[in-house]
Amino acid sequence: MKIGIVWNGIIRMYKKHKWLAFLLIVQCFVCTLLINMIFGTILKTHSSVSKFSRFIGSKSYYWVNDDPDDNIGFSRYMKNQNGEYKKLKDFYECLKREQSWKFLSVDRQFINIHSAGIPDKFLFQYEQGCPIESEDKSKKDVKCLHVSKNVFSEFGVTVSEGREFQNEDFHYDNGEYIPIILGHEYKDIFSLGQILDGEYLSETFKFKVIGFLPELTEIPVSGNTGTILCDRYIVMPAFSFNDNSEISFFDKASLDHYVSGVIISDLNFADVEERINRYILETGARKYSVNPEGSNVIKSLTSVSESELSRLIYIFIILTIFTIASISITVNGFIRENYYEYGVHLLSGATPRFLVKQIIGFITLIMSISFAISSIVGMFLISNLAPLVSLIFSVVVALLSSVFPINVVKKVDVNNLIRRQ
Amino acid sequence: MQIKKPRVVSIFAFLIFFVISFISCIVIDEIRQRANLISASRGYYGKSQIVFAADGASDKDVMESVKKIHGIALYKDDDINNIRQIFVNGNCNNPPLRSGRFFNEKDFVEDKSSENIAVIGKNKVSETTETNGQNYIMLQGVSYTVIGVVGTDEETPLNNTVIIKFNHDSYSGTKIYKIDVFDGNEDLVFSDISKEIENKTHLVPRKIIFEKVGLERILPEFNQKNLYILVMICLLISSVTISMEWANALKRRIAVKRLVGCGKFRLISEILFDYFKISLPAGIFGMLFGFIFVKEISLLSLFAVAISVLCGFIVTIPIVKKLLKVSVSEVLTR
Repeated sequence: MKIGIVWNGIIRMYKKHKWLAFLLIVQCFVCTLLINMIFGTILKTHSSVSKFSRFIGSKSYYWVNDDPDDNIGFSRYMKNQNGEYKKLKDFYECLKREQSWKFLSVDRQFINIHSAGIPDKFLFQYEQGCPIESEDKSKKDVKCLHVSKNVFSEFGVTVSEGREFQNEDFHYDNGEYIPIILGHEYKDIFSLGQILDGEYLSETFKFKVIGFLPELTEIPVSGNTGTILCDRYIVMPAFSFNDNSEISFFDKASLDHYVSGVIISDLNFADVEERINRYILETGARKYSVNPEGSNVIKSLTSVSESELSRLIYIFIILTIFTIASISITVNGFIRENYYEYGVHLLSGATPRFLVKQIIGFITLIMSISFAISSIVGMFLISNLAPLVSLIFSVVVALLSSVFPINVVKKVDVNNLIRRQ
Repeated sequence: MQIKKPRVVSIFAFLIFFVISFISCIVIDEIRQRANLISASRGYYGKSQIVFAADGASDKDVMESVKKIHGIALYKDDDINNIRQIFVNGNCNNPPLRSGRFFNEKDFVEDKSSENIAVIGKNKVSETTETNGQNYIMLQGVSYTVIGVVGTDEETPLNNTVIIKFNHDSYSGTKIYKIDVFDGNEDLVFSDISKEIENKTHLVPRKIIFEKVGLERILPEFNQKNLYILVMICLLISSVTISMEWANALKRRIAVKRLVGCGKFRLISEILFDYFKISLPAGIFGMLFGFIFVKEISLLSLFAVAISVLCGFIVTIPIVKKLLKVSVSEVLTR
């Protein structure tokens, strides 16, 4: 019976202010939709920004590269005069062993894949406007990254399909397949488990697709400004032959590439450079240079994306406060409109609690209608999470926007109400 | 002189318009800044960008072909040295300007083509030299007059870039050309440019499908236009509800005035003027308060504030008219 009276009061209030109530419903609906939109973006932004900051943005990088103009040194190395290969291998081991930094072998190369159906965007140097095009149209020189074991874990790289590299993938026996993980844009071209014929550093291999990277996977690569987007890359392990009794052309060429990599360290540049030069002297390896990542692209992306995230949260909070204030003020107006009626109710034996229930009921009705509409619209337009976000938002707004009107109702005095003071 | 005690609903009306203006400024500024940062990080400011290579064609051929297309900016970037060459034709959006001016199409007319002028990123200001109050920057042995400084508060590549006029005689870079499209459809613009280059050189330029660059790689796509529209709807409805509430509270006053023979027109204009006295200063105060927090005062913010105040104001007209139809005795006996 009491519920019936409260309900009748709510409906009477609604009918009396049907235009205002309608506008409030529209406002709450728009706000809930807006909050859904911003919340969805905050979640996505937070996940990508925090991942980028944690795995890439928060680190100091130094690029290790050979001197591209040192043709004599390179020629001597490739001929393995004076045991140059062993010297470089020792230097490579020193880089990996050093405790004050992490050395990651990661560099760009190309693989010649025997497949005519690969679009031009995958070709090596495509984005630089000078893609390498083979005379044999059935073979394509495509972009490739070789990575050492620690690259995936260091940069938080995962696969969206298939599996990541395992320890045994970094050791190669003749006749085996070389496992490769393809960038996201390869998904429409190759499939998991597919075997591809190709050449890498003038050696013929069979490559097996073991996985695909998620969209927008980034890896900092030596000599590059910022990071490389791997969507159009083939990623392969920086492998070595198990049986290397004889030093082949491939051994020499691959080691030369593997030494080009990334150092992640808290040491300053002078210390890193001093250690690199010391190792070169100790091992007698040919000259390699080290340079800090000077473009600041990684640092700027991290700081800008983090500030973007805080901006979104800022808008989210402002809009929530605004909705609460707006409902509170409007409902407070309704209360003032109904002073006389409330006075009669109180004289007839109603308690302030009854009035409070009526106010809460009215706000709940408004929020419920807007919640229902925004959940349905949000589910189609924004995400499946929309009903949950709408529900939480509606409950919070309903509770908080009731506080001020309830306070007003609790303080009402029958004498004042009847005398319209 | 007796000071009239303000009614509670008038204070609320003032506050809500203050808040509406304040929020309009803040939200619009946030959206604008986001758009600026994304543009600054990806390096183009139009609605889309075309990247192409014109193998065999000279820079001069490309520039002369592009000259015939309106509403575009042609870029050629040297990412290693952070130098961008630019050619502007028609109205184009500028990068965030900190001082001076950006290039405009007048800089590229025949008699000015030999002028060495540059717009520099804010971090490059320290590399300039000053002579007779004019700043100059040296690039590969050539001195350029600095006409403007661009940059963002956050560190973006724009802050380290030097932008010079597209000059095929003095500076070479990569063979990649970028067209920032401001007017028209991207595909149609490329098709027109291709035809022009082909007619001139008998070579067909190759369009490069470029990957995502800058912040777009990290930040998820986000429809700012929808956000802005929803925010504006939200603010407008609020101003409407508070206007109705404000007008409703005037029933007794209207009844009394009608009783003493006040004409309808006078009544409406008096009430609207009262309302105007509340909403306009509130809107202005809110806007001024908002401008303390925003980084740049934009026309869009002013427009948003004006629209929300105006709508809240306009909506009171039918409400006041409706109030006039209410019986005087009914209002006064309540």
